[in-house]
Amino acid sequence: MNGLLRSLRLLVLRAWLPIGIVVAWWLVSATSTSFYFPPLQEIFLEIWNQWILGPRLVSDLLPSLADFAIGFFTAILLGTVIGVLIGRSAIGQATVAPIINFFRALPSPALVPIMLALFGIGPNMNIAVIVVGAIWPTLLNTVDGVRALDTQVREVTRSYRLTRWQTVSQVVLPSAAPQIFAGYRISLQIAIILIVVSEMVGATHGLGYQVIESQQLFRVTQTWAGTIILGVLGYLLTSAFLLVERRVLAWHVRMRIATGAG
Amino acid sequence: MAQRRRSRGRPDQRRTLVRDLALGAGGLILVILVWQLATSLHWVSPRSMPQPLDVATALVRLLGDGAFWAACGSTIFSSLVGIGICIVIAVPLSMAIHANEFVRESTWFVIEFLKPVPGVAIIPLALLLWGPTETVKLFLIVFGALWPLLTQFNYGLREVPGTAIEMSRVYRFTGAQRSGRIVIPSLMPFAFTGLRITTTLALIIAIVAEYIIGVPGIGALLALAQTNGVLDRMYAVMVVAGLLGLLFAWGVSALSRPLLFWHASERERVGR
Repeated sequence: MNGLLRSLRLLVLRAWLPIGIVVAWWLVSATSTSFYFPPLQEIFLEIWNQWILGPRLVSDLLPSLADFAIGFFTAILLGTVIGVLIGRSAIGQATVAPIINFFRALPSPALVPIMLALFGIGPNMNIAVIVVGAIWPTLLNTVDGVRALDTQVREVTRSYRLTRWQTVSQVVLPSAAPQIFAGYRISLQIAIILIVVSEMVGATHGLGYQVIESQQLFRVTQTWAGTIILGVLGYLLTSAFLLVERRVLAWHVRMRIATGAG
Repeated sequence: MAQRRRSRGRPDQRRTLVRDLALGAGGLILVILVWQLATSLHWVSPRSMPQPLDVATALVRLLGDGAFWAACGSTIFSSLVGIGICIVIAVPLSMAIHANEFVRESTWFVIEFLKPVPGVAIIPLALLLWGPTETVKLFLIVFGALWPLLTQFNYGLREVPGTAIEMSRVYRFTGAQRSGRIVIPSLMPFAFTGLRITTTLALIIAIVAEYIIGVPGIGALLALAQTNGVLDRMYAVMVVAGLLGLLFAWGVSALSRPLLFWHASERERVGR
């Protein structure tokens, strides 16, 4: 009972401000006649009628999400595999270090014009931009995580004569997992930015395209609706990712608590 | 490998450094060779990928162009100002958020919601509401780059080791001793992680804003080269954007090295 009360209190504490903001926005904008700040009710109706029950769900929203998912998963899968291979070899790492560092530091949207020239307008280009742009944080974090393996642990795996596969799957990957997932998180963030930017400049449909088009046509309510959807999607995608991360890294958290570090 | 690490004499270290530099240069040359082959053997159309030498020429021509340097300056300046504003907001805000449970829990959802909102998503809306100005560019940078810094500060304050704090109580540390010897050192890695992400995001958003809105900067140069179909110039500007990114990343790590020398990641770098 006490626990229930406590979680109820936490819920109220966490909920009052966001709900208050939305309600205040709703009330203040309800009588708005400003061209640029339409009533929140109109924006919600636009979202509901066009994007959730309307034609844009199938024509724009779902294709955007599909391109995003293909690009993101390809990027992190490739990034992890290549990262482990490179991180295990001092020579391989030194050879590719300048190239990785350049692309990791490159503001990835600068790749958009080049990908447009290579792939033309369309979903292939959107996917390619995400793969080429979002792979680097995963790659670099995997290399760093594999390298940051504690020197003593590394020596223990040598004394126990673990095979290469045992070392990678039992020691290297678990110990690097928190850092690899941190890489995934940055890759996710970049992938979301890239799907938005690439659709704004290189697509004929999709969420990003609709938002920029409504802006150019001065359809203010649609721009507001699209922006809110992009924001909510960014939040939902990241939350889903964090849920997965929490499950996968649960042992790590438990270990921190057990050792008194948490 | 273990033996090599233990015999850490200067000549040995220098030899490793020379070897790494040579390998890195070799890797770069290999990539440029493949690029040259791909373009001269027409694996990719010359209309979508110029030859490396043409890009190098375009790059040299850019360096002699006053407008190019103005664009670089504009991008660097607004990114740096944006990062500065982010720090000025994040430090007191994270401390205020951590001071008290009511504020911490009340702001929790708002920050959690705003953090993953892609800063570039609000470009069309900002453009619609306020038009294409330098102030809008700055606003976009701060709005898009603030949250990682703020949340990293929050994580850092939360992850201060519990045993160390308890120990500091046992030893009757003063507040200042606790901050200086436990809180700030354990916060530092988080702060620099946040700063690194914020720096990356600030530059990204600056360039995207310039590219889409057309305010002066590297992104606008990219858009101009794209509309005019000058491929070699477009690739050269991309290389410059990468170099700017490297410059920013180097700036952050130059700041972090004297402050994080004791951390495992830096120890490894020196000891290698």
